[in-house]
Amino acid sequence: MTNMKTIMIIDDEPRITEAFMLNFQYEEAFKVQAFNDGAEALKQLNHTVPDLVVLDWRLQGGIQGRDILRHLKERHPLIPVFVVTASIHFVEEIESFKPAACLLKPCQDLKDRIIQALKD
Amino acid sequence: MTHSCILKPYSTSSSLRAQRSSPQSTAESVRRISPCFLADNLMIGYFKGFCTRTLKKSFVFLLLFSAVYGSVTLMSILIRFLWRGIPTSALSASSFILAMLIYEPLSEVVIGVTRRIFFEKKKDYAQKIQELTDQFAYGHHSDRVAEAMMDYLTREMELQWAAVYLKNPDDNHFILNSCRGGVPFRTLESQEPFLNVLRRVRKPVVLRPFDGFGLNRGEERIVIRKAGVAAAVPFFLEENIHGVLLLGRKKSEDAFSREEEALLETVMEKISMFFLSSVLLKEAARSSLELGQRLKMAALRNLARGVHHEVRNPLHALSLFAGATLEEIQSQRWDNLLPEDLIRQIHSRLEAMLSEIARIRDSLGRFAQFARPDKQEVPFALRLDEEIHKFLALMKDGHKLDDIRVNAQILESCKVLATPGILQTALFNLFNNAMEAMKGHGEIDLAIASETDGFVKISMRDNGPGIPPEILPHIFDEYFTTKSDSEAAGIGLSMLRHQIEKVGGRVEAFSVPGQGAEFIIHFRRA
Repeated sequence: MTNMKTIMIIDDEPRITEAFMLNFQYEEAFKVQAFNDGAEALKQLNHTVPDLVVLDWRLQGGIQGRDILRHLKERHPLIPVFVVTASIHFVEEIESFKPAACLLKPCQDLKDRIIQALKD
Repeated sequence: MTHSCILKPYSTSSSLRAQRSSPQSTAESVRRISPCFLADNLMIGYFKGFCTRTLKKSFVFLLLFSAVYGSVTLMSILIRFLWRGIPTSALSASSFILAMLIYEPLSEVVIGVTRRIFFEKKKDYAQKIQELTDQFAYGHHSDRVAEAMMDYLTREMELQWAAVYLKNPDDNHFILNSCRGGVPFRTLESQEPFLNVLRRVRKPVVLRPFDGFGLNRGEERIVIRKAGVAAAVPFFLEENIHGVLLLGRKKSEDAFSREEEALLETVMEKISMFFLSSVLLKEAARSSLELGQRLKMAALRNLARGVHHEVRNPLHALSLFAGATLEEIQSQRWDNLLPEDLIRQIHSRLEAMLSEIARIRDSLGRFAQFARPDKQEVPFALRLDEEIHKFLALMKDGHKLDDIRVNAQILESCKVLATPGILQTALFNLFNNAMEAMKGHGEIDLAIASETDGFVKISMRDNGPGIPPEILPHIFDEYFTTKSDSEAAGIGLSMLRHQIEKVGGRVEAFSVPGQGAEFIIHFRRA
């Protein structure tokens, strides 16, 4: 179990994190940590470091996707971050942070891309 | 100090005076509203006016009579001295005829002079012109403007009668629009001689003493005097006469002064300007659908961004659910499940997916309802609480409420007269303005309150920087904007005002710089 990869998904919609977790429930090589609140995710990131982060750009509450991405870029610049957004208007801003991927919801082949990124 | 800008479909002279009055005079006017007091005042005023006029007329008559009598006596003495053979009766008769001929024009001079010397209070005509200009500046309806003008002129100039005629576009005749006192004509032919005179001179024609008797100045005044009119003021719409104001003689029977002539010129300019703007407004109203659509399109584009977001999110969830399910089926993970577990699994997935589909459907439905053209032109009773809940749901869909906290105090079961399109567009535009003022973050207090005058008010207050006092009076002006990139630059709030007024409502804005702005819409209660 030492090579089990941790994926952290941060999205304010519980239904999305729930569906995301379903995609990985039978994958023994991957563990999913889901957060619906940006502040809690940020707190967790201070303790544990996931192998990949799937980050929603627009979150409810004070902490936004950009705050988390900034934190990750400063502290853990090597962790691949998949930023997902429902609005095309944020794409330019997101890409300025140079994440591993910037994906527009609904994302095609998200699981495959994540697995591929973690293999690399 | 709170700066306010109140917009009403029109404003009467009394309300304007009330707006101008000082706190002291306000207290006085409150005292004056007692009906008995008012009736007493009116009677005393009427009696005083009657006595003053009678006194003036008697004084003038005595003066005139003495002058004419003195002249005739002097003339008789002179003629008899030169021509001793002339019979006294012939001399008296010719003196009498001469006195009759000069009496009419002479009376105006004498009345004018005596009034000036003995009776007339010094009037500040610059102030009067300003007052009149103010009255027209607030008018939005030609009948109301005509009424206000009639009241003002008959009161200020103490006229026997006054009437406004407006051109009937069907037959080009001029039809009586409003009047005060006994009016000599109901309609005027388009080619009425004095109208032709006015077309030629293009300014008010005011009779002066001796005018029209062949003793003084041009033919135009002869024509005017023949028509029994003391002053005629044309209103032009571009090059053509669109209306005419006819004034009878003054109750005191003296002539119009130079200052009054200047006042009438102001009337001509302002009313002509009013007609021009009224025609432009009508044109705007004709294309109001187009303008309204433009305003709505701007709102739609703005909302579409958020609704896009609201559709993509559940689609993302759907796609993840479908992907997981498909993979589980393909990898035969469900093959070993017990039938009841399988059914439970499918049931829970489908429920989750259907709820996401419902979210998309509701969101698109609200958006489509907002986007639909407002076919219902006639206002009807709308449940305000329902419409506001719908509006807030739409704003939530559009992710407008992510960083805006709305404190809503909504009165239940309150009905107003409006159309859904006008109400929703009004709320959206005010909300969007507040949001832009607060740079996307802040609080909005939304409240509904019933008013005693048959209206219901919707108040929307933000905690942004407020509206500078120099801008506040102009925010509802057409083509006034502080934004350079707005889709509906300069038509937003003015269009909003027109739309609200179209259903009999009105809108006001209040702001204390640094403490936010408040917009209040008053809709008629249904």
